[in-house]
Amino acid sequence: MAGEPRTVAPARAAPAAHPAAIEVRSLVKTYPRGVRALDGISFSAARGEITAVLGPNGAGKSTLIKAMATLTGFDAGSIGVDGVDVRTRPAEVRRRIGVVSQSYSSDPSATGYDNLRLQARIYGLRGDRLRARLHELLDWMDLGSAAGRLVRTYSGGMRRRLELAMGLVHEPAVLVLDEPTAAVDPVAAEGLWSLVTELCRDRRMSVLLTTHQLDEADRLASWVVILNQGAVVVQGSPQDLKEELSGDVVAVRLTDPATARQVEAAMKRLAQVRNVAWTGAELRADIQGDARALGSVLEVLTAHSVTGPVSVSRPSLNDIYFRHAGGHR
Amino acid sequence: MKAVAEHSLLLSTRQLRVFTSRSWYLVATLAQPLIWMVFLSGLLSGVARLPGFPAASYPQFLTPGMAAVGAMFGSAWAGLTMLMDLERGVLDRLLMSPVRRVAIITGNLIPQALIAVVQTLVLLAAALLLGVRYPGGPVGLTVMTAAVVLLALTVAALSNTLALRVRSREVQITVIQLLIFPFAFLSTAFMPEGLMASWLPTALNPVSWVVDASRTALSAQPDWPAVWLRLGLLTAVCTVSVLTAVNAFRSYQRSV
Repeated sequence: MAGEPRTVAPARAAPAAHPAAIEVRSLVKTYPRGVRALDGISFSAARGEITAVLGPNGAGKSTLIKAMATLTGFDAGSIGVDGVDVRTRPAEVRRRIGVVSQSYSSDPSATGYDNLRLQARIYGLRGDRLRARLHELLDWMDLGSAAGRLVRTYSGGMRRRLELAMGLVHEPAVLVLDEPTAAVDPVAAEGLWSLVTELCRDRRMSVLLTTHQLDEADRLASWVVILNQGAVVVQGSPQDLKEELSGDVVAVRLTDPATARQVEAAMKRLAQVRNVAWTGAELRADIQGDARALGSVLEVLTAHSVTGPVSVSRPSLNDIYFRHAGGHR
Repeated sequence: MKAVAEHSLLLSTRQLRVFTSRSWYLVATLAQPLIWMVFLSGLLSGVARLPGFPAASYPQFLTPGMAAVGAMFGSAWAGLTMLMDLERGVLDRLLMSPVRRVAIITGNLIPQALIAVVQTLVLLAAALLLGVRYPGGPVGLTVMTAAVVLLALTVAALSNTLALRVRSREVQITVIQLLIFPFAFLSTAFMPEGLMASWLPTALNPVSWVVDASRTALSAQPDWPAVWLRLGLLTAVCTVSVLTAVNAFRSYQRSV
């Protein structure tokens, strides 16, 4: 258990007439052999906004998405998608949710057009409406000229855009993106994000995304939920979460294990240091107070003859993440 | 029910489109039984001269057998398509969509039945070109096609069951290869029952049921009770196999 979940902002309650895009309440899911993937998760995702779910591998993000998308069952709790209960009306939920999975789900042995067309037909589109929708999506995703090619010939970015088109084909009220920029180059990722932002802004679509790219979550999401070991450890707006860490962050690279241990222990003894976490070989300390606090930290580094690069910065979402979702060396 | 039919058609079309879009795949699938028929007709032509051989020529005898074996060989790999969909995430995407669950199975089975029908017609056309004539006419042909379809559905359903249970291509391929050859050679497809050792369990082999029902239905004086018995057995086995596949699919869904 990761302790009591905290909300760094007033809890959001959606008016009854406008239910939240996603409402997860006390969700519990245990896999066979007793692995508890979700341990009482609760949060809500507002309509027309981007909500980011962050967490290390194994935190329960993918299980959460599978449960929302009716792919897997759960033991206790509830999920509402666009006001529809996942457990009692799964067929209706499937019509209202669009999912873009972490791994590809298009058929590489078929053309992009055929993949998209099949998806549209499954959702009941036909005739002129079908053709218009396919044309619109292919144009929008810049896949028009590649539509007749087999998907196996697509680049990673093209394939991601096709997956997004397949998730959007039925104009879902809620779009779920599971690590959509994993294995995509930065230019393709940027293109994907501008599409997603456009969806929220212009079409009032609600988006829930999971990502490891914390700067993306910081930039795009209006609400962030951090999971660890199947539980929500903290949630709030990126701004509120960052304000919670009011001091500065000192980052220092320590390659020698013995020195690293000593510096970590010495830092933890300082009253002005609130938290110490590791990002690979980099130690990050949240410090509270004025320049004297910074001086004490630098004294520790000098005392241990640390010569590696040191930086001081304002806290980022990364620091919030490492504070709440682990980061042990 | 309408949705099941519509979704089955959509998913069947998807598979057939992949099949027909690769000409080499299409040609190889349709040509395989023909190649077997040519070689076996040469290899075993002397069998037709043995006393008591129940047909005018070996090709006349072999065509229904080859249709049955060809249907089994083709549809035995249906489970691999299911496995590929599973590995590629296509199956999970379908499960997250409003597609009717049973259509995911039927959409895999129906193409196998259609391919088996086309294979049968190609074989018959080849036999006619070789001068083979079947006095049973269109009725006999209908019986043979129905029996072949039932066998293709049965084998494809069992192949899907295996795929959804073991979820390993290696195991799937090994098991299929282990089974299809004994079922082909321990049937009446290539040899009349009278020329085979009496202890061989040919009568328990569904391939033999297809072959025997087809041969008698295509003959001048069909033994209709024997035809109905075999079609009945095939229908029963097919129903159980499809239900087993649906059950295996449900079990996969629970395990996601």
